Amino acid sequence: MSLFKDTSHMYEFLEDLWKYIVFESSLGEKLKENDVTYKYIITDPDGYLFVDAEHVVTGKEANRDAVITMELSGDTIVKFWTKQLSLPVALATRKIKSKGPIPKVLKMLPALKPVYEIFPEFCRKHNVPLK
Amino acid sequence: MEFLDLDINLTKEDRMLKANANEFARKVMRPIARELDEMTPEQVIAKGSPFWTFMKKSYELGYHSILIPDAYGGMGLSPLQQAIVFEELAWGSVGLTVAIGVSSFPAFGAAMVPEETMVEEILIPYCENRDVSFIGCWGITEPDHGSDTLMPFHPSFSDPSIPSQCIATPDGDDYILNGQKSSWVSCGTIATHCALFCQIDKSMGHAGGGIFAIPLDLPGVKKGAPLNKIGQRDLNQGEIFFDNVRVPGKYLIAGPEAYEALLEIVLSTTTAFMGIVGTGVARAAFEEALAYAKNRVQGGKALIEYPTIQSKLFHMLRKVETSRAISRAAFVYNQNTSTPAEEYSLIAKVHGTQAAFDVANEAVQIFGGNGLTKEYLIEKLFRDARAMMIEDGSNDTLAISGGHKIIETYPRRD
Repeated sequence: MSLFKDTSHMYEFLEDLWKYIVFESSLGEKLKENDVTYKYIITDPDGYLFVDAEHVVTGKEANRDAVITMELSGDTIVKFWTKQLSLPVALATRKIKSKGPIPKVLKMLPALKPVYEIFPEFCRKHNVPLK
Repeated sequence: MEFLDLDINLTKEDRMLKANANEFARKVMRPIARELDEMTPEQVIAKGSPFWTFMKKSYELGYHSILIPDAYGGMGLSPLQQAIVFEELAWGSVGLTVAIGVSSFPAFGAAMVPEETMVEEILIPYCENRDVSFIGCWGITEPDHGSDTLMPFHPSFSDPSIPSQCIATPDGDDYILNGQKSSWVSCGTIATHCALFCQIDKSMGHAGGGIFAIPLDLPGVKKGAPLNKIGQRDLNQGEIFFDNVRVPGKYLIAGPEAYEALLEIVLSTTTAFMGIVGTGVARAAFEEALAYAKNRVQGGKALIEYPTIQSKLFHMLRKVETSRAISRAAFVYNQNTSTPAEEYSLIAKVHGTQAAFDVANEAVQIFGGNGLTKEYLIEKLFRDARAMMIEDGSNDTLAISGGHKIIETYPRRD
């Protein structure tokens, strides 16, 4: 059973989280600076998320071309951002499948550090269990 | 000499990187490499050796961080740009290129883990380092385990009856390290840090390994003597010994749950890298032979006027070009996906290093007696190339590993 109740619950959470990340933290600038766009193909519950320097999109509309595409489950999203799963382990064990230049994936990691810190707060706000 | 690059999509920046790397290879690496080739292994790394002149200049230009994202202060090159630069540096000297490549290994591994320790103790200090006081190495092979440590997902890799010679035993939050790594560890006797691949869970055979990025000033670490060898004499190599070394858990990048798969990801980069540097050596040997054949007169005419020589040169260039094509393609592809097609990198390694040897060997033949003397570069290129068919996995063993992957996965879906 997923940590998210359903796709709507997950979208509500991801939109809130990523709008904060892109528009209120420095990540939006980093995305623009490095010309990076992300698409997440999520399973269990199924859904899509697209992020660039100016947009946070969920739903079928988010299923568009992106520089970096990540495929992962809803639970993996939570485990990754709560540091229960490290990136190399996630990639190596195929819990996250990544397409797109690995150097750009690695390049963005330092900018994502603030996300680790605020993630639990968003989980509490949207009743997403941390484990 | 500048060559025709068949990639019509190279940007101005790509070409500039290539030109700068070639200038460095020509003016700095080649003369230093020839000097080092005449020295003993101890003299190569002695204080005041030209080896340190090369390393310092490489660090100052940032070549020690080719593989590291610019977010941490690395060069931040695209995979294609990395391939272009590495080929030029290897054209200068493959031994020195491997030295600068492995030096970045602990940082390369650390870049995958955005943890405070890795960033603050490994990544940033390494990338900012300019006085060569931070040198990495890759500790993987052991005296009894050479190429068989490089066969992830082959049935033998998870055989618990095959014991490792370097074992990290969990002890609370730390690990106690015992054993050794082989005399083939590049930069082994001069390194300050190590990307250490060793066994944690014996019940899983080699597959039960872990990857650490560790400082080598931990109590219990000792280094062996530098290795004396036929080729790549400018590359320091030697054993590292571990005697009850306590390694804090913060230096662990990944444990047994991900070791085999992560090793596959790492090898997909390193074996394609060997194909790229093999291309550099092959090209160097080809150009030496072409230049010589234009000038050497036998039977009243220049060698290049003989059809046999023309035919040889054709096949030599054919091997250079096909090596470049497969090596770049495999390197770029596998750096654009987290599920690597390792067998293509293995093809690049085997093809590129075999090409380097074949071309250098043929070049010696074109040089005739002069090719056997130390007066010409070609005999060094020949010796350097011979090592490459064994270095980073013997080609015979990698073909077994690659063949196993092919029967399991072909055709891969993108």
